[in-house]
Amino acid sequence: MNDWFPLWLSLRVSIIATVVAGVVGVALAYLLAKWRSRWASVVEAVFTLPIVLPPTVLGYYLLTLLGSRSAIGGVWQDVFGSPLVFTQAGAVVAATVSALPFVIRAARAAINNVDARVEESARVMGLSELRVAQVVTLPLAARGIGAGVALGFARALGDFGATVMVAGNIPGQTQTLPVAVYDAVQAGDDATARTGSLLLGAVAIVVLILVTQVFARRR
Amino acid sequence: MRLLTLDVRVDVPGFGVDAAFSVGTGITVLAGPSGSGKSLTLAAVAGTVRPTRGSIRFGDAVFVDVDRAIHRRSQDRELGVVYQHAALLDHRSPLDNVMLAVREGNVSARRLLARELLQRVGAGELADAKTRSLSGGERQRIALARAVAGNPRLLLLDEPFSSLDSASRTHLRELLKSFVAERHLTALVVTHDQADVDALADRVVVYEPGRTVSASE
Repeated sequence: MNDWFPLWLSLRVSIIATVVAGVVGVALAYLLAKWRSRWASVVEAVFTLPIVLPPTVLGYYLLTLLGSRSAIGGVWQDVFGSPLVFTQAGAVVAATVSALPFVIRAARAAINNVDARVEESARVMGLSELRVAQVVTLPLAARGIGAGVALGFARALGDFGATVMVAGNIPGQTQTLPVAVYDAVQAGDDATARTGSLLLGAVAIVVLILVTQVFARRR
Repeated sequence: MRLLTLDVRVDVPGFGVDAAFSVGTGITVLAGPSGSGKSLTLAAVAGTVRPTRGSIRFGDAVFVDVDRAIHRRSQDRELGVVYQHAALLDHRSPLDNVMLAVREGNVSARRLLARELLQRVGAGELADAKTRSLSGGERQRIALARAVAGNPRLLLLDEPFSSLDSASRTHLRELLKSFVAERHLTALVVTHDQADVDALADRVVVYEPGRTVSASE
């Protein structure tokens, strides 16, 4: 494979998507964990949908929601001067939405597992809710959150269906590595397909091992 | 003198307690059989459960008044608590644990006060130890230092010494008594141990299942 663009694009897109999904996902998970209402599970179900939907269907929803003729897509175009779909920003959105449920589910479970008595005694000793989250809840849930973020990254890196629907398959512009592998297979270019697949597999394994070790050491 | 006055009902699934008493400074022991509602009373004073009826006042401060829909947040009740299994933050040092509870001053002032308190409870050399690896007695000493670090007027202790050996227990009782005396604190102590009652109690509130029956000096 002599064109490294798809690999760099994939890494860039999935890193940005992981950061966004990490911040948004942990915040949402925290609110869902503390929000004692039936609606919490409805909201969680909506955000979990990307795990169970076929990625192309998720991509279709996003395309409909974010396309140039939609309200959101229109506002984006007015502000940034270019459409959101069929751009690298579109690829980031697709990857973020795909990664988000992994972060939310793992983070919510980890936050729920934090001993409520430890949180209570922190409150009683005068810490504000924000400080309790910062000093008690999130550090104690860090391993679970880390696992969710790692899975989210792997998912973002490997996304094909949603990305191809929202960002398209424009070589040198929006063609991520999984899409490039598909393209290469279609074109009978075995060497490129093999190299791309091995690279994706290797990057995913290295990242998962690193994250697992970092969080194992903390215990 | 600030009086702590309770006249509340607290309900949790499958159980409820009616608690009515009024106590001043010094150590008040809540005594009675397991499951009579002593810890639940303490939780209502701490603000971690909401009473279903009645009120809790401490001096001029209204902690709870169900009729007026007042439920002051735990953070604003200015309390110190010690639980049976010290709810210390295992991922922070003992010094950090105490420092976090200090409400006033800059970082160096808070650190200084935390170190002094750790010295005071005989845990000065443990300031930077691994919290996770401390013994039960060490943890409770740090929990006591943390409970008074925020300069509260009211201390709540739920079976604070029950998992300790007798030497640690005696030491902690003396520490608690000296803090209460010096700082003119009001302390509520839940215990099953008659020796705690004998050693600590300025007064006793007696529980039977589901209600308080008497308060005596």
